[in-house]
This record gives sequence, C-alpha cells and structure tokens, in this order.
Amino acid sequence: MKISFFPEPELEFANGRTHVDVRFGIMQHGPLDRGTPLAPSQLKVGFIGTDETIDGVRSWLLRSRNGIPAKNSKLSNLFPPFPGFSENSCFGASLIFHERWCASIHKREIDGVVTNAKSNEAVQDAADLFLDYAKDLTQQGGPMVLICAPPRELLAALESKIAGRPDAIDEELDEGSDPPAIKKSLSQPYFHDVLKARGMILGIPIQMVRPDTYSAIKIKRKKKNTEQIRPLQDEATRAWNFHTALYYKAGGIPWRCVRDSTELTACYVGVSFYKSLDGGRLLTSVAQVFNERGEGVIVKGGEAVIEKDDRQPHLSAEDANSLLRQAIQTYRREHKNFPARLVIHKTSKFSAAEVEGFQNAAAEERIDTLELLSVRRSLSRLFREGTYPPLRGTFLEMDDVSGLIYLRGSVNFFETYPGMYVPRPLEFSIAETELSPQRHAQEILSLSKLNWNNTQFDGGEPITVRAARRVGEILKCIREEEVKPSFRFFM
Amino acid sequence: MSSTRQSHKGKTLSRQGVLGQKGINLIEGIVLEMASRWTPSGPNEVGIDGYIELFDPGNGAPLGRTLAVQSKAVSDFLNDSPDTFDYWCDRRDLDYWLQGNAPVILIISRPASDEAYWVSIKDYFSDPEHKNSTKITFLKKTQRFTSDSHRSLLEIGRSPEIGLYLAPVPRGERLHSNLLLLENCPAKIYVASTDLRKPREIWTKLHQTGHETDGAWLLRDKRLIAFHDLSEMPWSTVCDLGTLEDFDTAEWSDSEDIDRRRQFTQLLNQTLRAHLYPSVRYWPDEDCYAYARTIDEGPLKLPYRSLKRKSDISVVSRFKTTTRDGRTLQWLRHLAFRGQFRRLGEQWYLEITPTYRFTRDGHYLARLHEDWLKGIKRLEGNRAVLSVLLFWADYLRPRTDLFEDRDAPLRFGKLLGFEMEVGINDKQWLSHDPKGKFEEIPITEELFLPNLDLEI
Repeated sequence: MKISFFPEPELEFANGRTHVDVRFGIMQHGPLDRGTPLAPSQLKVGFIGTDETIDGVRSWLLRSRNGIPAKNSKLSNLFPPFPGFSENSCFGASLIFHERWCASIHKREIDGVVTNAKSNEAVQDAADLFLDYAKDLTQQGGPMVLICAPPRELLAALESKIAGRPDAIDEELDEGSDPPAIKKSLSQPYFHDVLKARGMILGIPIQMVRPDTYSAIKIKRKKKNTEQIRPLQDEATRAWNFHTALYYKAGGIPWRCVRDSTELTACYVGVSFYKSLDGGRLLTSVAQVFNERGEGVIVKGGEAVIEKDDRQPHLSAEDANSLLRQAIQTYRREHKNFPARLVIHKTSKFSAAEVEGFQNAAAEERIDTLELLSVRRSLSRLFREGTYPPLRGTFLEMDDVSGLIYLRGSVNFFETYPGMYVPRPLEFSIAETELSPQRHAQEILSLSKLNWNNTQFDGGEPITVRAARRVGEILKCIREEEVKPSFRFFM
Repeated sequence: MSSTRQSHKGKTLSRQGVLGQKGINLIEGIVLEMASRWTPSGPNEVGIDGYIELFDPGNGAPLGRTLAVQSKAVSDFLNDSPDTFDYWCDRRDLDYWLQGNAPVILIISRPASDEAYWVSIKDYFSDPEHKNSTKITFLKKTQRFTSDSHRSLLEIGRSPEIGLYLAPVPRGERLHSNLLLLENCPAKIYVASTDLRKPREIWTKLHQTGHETDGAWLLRDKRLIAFHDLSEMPWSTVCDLGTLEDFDTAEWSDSEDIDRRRQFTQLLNQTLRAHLYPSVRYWPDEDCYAYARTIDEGPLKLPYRSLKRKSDISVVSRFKTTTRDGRTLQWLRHLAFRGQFRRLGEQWYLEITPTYRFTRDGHYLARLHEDWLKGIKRLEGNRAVLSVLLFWADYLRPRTDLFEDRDAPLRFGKLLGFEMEVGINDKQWLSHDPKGKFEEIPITEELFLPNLDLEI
C-alpha cells in the first residue's frame, strides 16, 4: 500500500486561462466560452410562481446584477464576493426579463394543492399546476430557461409528505454496497424531480428556486429537535450557484477540466441504479459526461436484478451491451464524433456478464480503449492527528487494482474542511484498464470538479456518479419517449 | 591633550550595531526556514533593512510578492508582560513607511531569547484607533514571527479577487487508517456434513452436551464449517465424522474463488462475534458491535493506550432527563463499531468504523437512537473519531484482558499507518477558521463526545 497526494486539478476558463477554483477562475478570466459565438450573452428568463415569489426572485436577481459583497470571514478563498451578472461583468452575459414571460399562479390554486397535500397525488397536482402555466408560457416563445418559484407554504406542505425520506447524506450512500439505501428511497418522489421529469416535454430547462435562496430568513431551531437545519449558504455563494447554473442551462459552458492534448478523446459514463416508483423494478440510469465540451447526455438503461449471493444490482450481458451501444450512439448523434477511450464508473461491482456485455458493445462500436471501474463511498478511512481530516487529494493505493481517493476533505485552497461529518473517501476497484490506479484517481479528482450546479468544487463524487444518481431520481418519474438527452434538463 | 588621547583609542564595534545585526540574522534564518528569500538593503538604507520575497514552500515557485522590512532589535521589550509589549515608532520612520504603495512590515526582535514579532505597518495604522499614535502594542500569541507566518505575510495588501493558491506545506505527518491488521488466525478449517438444517437445531444439540460452546461456526450447504476441531466434543455430536475434512486456512483465506472467500469472511465474523461476547455484543439490525451494559450497572470507563499516553474513555455513559409531566427518563450510550473483514493485497484487515448505540435499558434501542446518532456524528471531528478508533484497536489486541483465560483465535496487530509528505498546519488554519474551532468547545454531557486525548 502506498500513500500520495495529488494537488488540486486546474480548471479551464475563457481563452485557455486556468485556475484551481471555479469562482476565482470565472472572476479573473470569465466562463470557458466567453467571447465565442456559442456563449449566451443574453439569458432570456421566464418565471412561474405567485406574484409574491416572482417579485421576490426578480428583485433578488436585480440586486445581484451589480454584485454581492463577500461574507465577512477570514476564509476569503471559501467566501469570495459575487461579481455581478451583466454584460460588463466577468460573465459577459445579462439576464433579460419580460412581463410576457411571467406566469402568475393564483393564490387560491396554490391553496387548493396545499389543502389536498395529504393525498398521494399532491406532488403530481403541484407539478400539473406549474406545468399548465409553463405550457402557455413556452407557446409564446422566448425564454431560454424557466425559473419555477414555488411559495414557502406549498413546499412545506409537499415536504411533510416526504418526511420519511432519507436526507441528502444518506442518499449519498452507495447503493451498490448498501441495498437498504435503495429501499429507503422508495417513498414519494420530490416535487423538484417530478417537475423536471414532466417538464422535459416543453424542451426548456427548468431552474427551481426555493424562497430561502432569494429571501433568507432565520428559522428558529426547536430546542428539542436534534435534527439540525442545514445551514444556509451565504448570499454571495447562493448567487454564484444560481447564476452559474442558469448560464449552463441557457447553453453556456462555465468551465471544464484541463486536459492534456496528447491524451485520447475520452468519454466518461456513469452507471447507477434506481428503483421504479412502484418499487417493483430496479432500473439502470446512465449519465455521460464529456471533457471536451463539458456536456452530458443521458440514456435510460434496462432492468437490473439484485442477485441473492452478493446483494448487488447487476445487468445481464445483453442489457449491458445494449446500454453501452445506445450510449455511444447517442453520444455520436449529439457530438458528431466518437471517443477513442471510454471509461465506465459503475456504482456496484462488475459481474462477468456485465464485463462481457460492455466489451462486446465497445468492440461493435469500434471504441479502442474501454476501462471499467466500480466506485463507491468507502468505510475505510484515514485520520490525521490534528483537528482537520485528511487533505482532499490524499490517495491510498490499496493494491494493483484499487485505491481510496479523498474528494471530500480538508481543502488546502480554502484552508478549512468545508463540511460536516468525518468525510468518507471514494474507493474504486478496476475491472479492466490500461492505466494505473494513480491515473484513475487523478482523473476522478478532476471529474469531481465538473458539477455546474455547485461552484464550490469539493464535491464528494465524480460527476459521472453524481449525475447518474440525480438522473435516476428524475428518470423514475418519466416515460421513456420524453427523455431529453441533454444533462441540462436533469440538473 | 585630551583630544590626542581620544585619537589613540582603537576602533570599536558598537553594541547597538551588533544587536541590530543579530536581529537581521534572526529574521533571515526564519525567512529561509519558510523557504523564501531575504535580501538586505545594503549600506545606504534609510529605514528599510531588507526585503522578503515570498516563494511557495511546496514547490519553490515565486509568488510575485515582496515585502519591505524594517527590523528593530532590542535588549528588552517595553512594558513587557506575558501577553503583550509596546514599541514606539519614530514619527519620521512612520511617515516614510506609510508613503508609497509597497507593503511594509516592522519586526521587533529580542535576539537574546530568539524572539521576533511582526506587524503590517499600513494595516495597523489604517485602523482609526491607532492613527494618531506612534505606539504599537504587540500581541505575543498572534504576532510572533516564525516560519508559520508565511501565509499571513502573503495576505498583506493582497487583492481578494486573486484566489491565491499554494500547495500544502511540505511537512511530514502520520495518517492512521481504520484497518487493523489480522496477524494470525487458526491454522486449520474443519468441514463436515450434518443432518441438522437450522442453526437453532445445532445450538439445541450442543447445549444438551453440557459443554461450553460458542457461535464460531457456519452452516452452509448442509455442512458445518469451523475453526474448531469438529472431531472433538461437543462438535462431534452435530456432524457426520465420516465426512470430516480439514484444510489449511490459507486454502480459504488466499482463495480466488469468490464463494470460498465469502465463507471465510463469514467464519471470521462469527469467530470475532463469539470471542467478543459477552462484554461486546454484535447487533445484527444495526450491524455493529457495542459494549454491553445494563442501565442498573451504570456507566463505565475503560483505560486504553492512545497515541502518546494511557488514557481512558467512556464506553458506556448514562443520561437522564425529566419530562414535563415529571417522569424521569434514562438512556445509555454504548461505544460501538462496525467491523468488516477485508483482504487487501496479501493481507486481511478488520475495517473498524466507530459508531454508537443508544439504548433505553442496555438492550433495546432508544426511540431517538437515529437522531442522537446523527447528532453526535455531526459534532465529532477527526480527532474525536480517531480517539474511539484507537480505543477499539487497543481493545482488540491480545494484551488486553479480553481473552485472559483462553487463547484468542484471532490475533490483531496494529492499525495500518502511513507517513504523508505534505500536511496541514492546524494551528494556523484554526486561527482564522471559526468553524474549525468546534472541537475546542468545552465538552459537555449533551454533546455526547468521548474524551479527546490527542495532542496536536
């Protein structure tokens, strides 16, 4: 066993300039595509909500236009200011609103859903309400992104229905090693997921915004309630995350991983599993992420089964083959070329049948190099003797085919550990490869920085796995023919 | 006459000059220690003794940052107290330092005690409170000039938009894993067919013999698998001795056959459970081993060997609360761990994940177990979890009295540890990290934290 440390991977921004941090990179250099014909310079934004929520979001966006000062903290690298969002800001793009692109939902309609919130269909009813207005709005043409702003009382009523759901930390547990986690997530789907799934048919990405994002209020913690409310991020960070996500959804590319031009064109595929809403079937989801354009396309996979012996979900050779062929074909259709190297990150171990299926598909689709890795959150951990946990980038090579990489941990750039809980590293084991475990670990560390939904770069998972998991939650609420291939519709 | 006598006096070195040079030498030594560069101003300096050019200590890359330095070496600090001392600047010096846009730091040193303290002149005197005075009060705790001052020097006058990135400091530190080496296990594995189909039937029959037995066996495919010699009593009563076979343990532990490897892992689990019982019990629903104790037996602390010294830890704690209607509720917190055997490379390890089990009586889970578990895990930081891990590693090793009257079937070695080439300066991070201080909060019963006995 061997321990080593990988420095923070750099990200690429406008004009090929680099920085390790998303926010400082954008502030200094601008988003990756700035100055190119593909960069969106005017983001036309539509709104759906009550009069009150639409006003709330719009006034926050107007206030953010000229920037938001940094949180008062000595951790200046963790809490930078938001530089504003206008054509003169580093984003080089502005938000365009128009009264015609606003759909106001009447209070009595919201009250109707809130009153019936106890029924099983409450989440679907709420989504119907928003989507009816969204349809009218999109028929008029114009907006590139729809901002859905449900009021606080609606979210509170819907969330009481999903009280039994595991929190986000539990959801991050790897289903491959922990079958009970799959069972737990079988309850009601989230309003957010249903809205995204059913809104896909409109052909416009949806950005949901919670009232806490634009009008933060302090919620008093109940004395006896040990369930701590997740601390709200500072206003500048919220503005960063919101505007960057809007930019991406409107077709922009905020950043990408720096890649060595001598390397093969690579395509990364995340394979994850989710249960159908009725709980009866275990389906596969696939998310693909491409370094070259920072794009992801989505493919819905076939059914998996959990075998009695190892309690992990697996695909048959035929399903594995069809899944990967479908993925490669979708890639080709979207990107007009095909990758030389294909890396699969799967959240359970590879069975012999899966290896065979994937290999055959790669050969049939003329992919030169196929690499198969199973990845999961590990319970094997490292401890420093000090206050802070190990540095992000700490890598333990466990043997020739497996390793632990800390994606969550103390971040040297932030000079703190920006998380709760003692962090769990990501463990991977290689079923088939041409690279060393170190190279895979470095690649996974880079891929953990490709999350356009979060401008704080220390996500605990590579985008392959994170996206596959998120996509699974949405795919379970949707009919196959309505699936849009772009990742923009899922985040 | 007197003037003639003066002219005959030999040349002398001024004491002040020597002291001044000692101050410069002290600064230069510290700057070199921070892997940066010191350049003296030369003979015609008028208030700046030299320049510090900062380099990245990780990779030696220049950071494009140079600070002007005025050194003042003294024999004694003025108004010296354990926490502070004062220094009065010359007004002309001050005016000189404050003009222009170069960052200037003043370093006051007492070479006799190897002490030096620093202040950023522009930052200090831009504070309205200090503007009209020439006095500087140094805080000894936070303004000491050492190689650790590197990061703070970089911050002086820096634009917040840069997002300066430095590699981690190249200081070696030890990382402890939660993988406990399995040094030894019984040499043979015995396998025999049995007519009994359920573990309960086997237990019943074993008990009828009146012999002492344990659960360190498996029933798989109509066969009994154990480290115990199945030809001996009472095991011989539950299997068909005509089918008895023995194998070298290595045939199972080193096997590439997934099924055989799985059975070996199960046998290790059963053996560990059997030998920890009854002090530490395995709870299948929570998949954890927890220290056993009833509510009447009360709390318990046990000694263990930590990193540097012997310490003790609460393995069972008792808590009490009174409800609004006057009822008294009690519950226990049991130190626990999840244990998973793993084979990495050529070795087997027990992966220990510290956790807790909250019970209302020592057996049944407390109603709020899940909430309390989440709560304590949020509060515990790296050091607290390491303390618990070290306790379990120590507890499982054979020199404890755990297996005092019988041979331990599984012998564990040390936790696997690693020397890392880069590390974190915890004190420096903590000095500006409000969140990082959570482990320095005084520990109360409500926080449910175990003793922290590590020294940084």
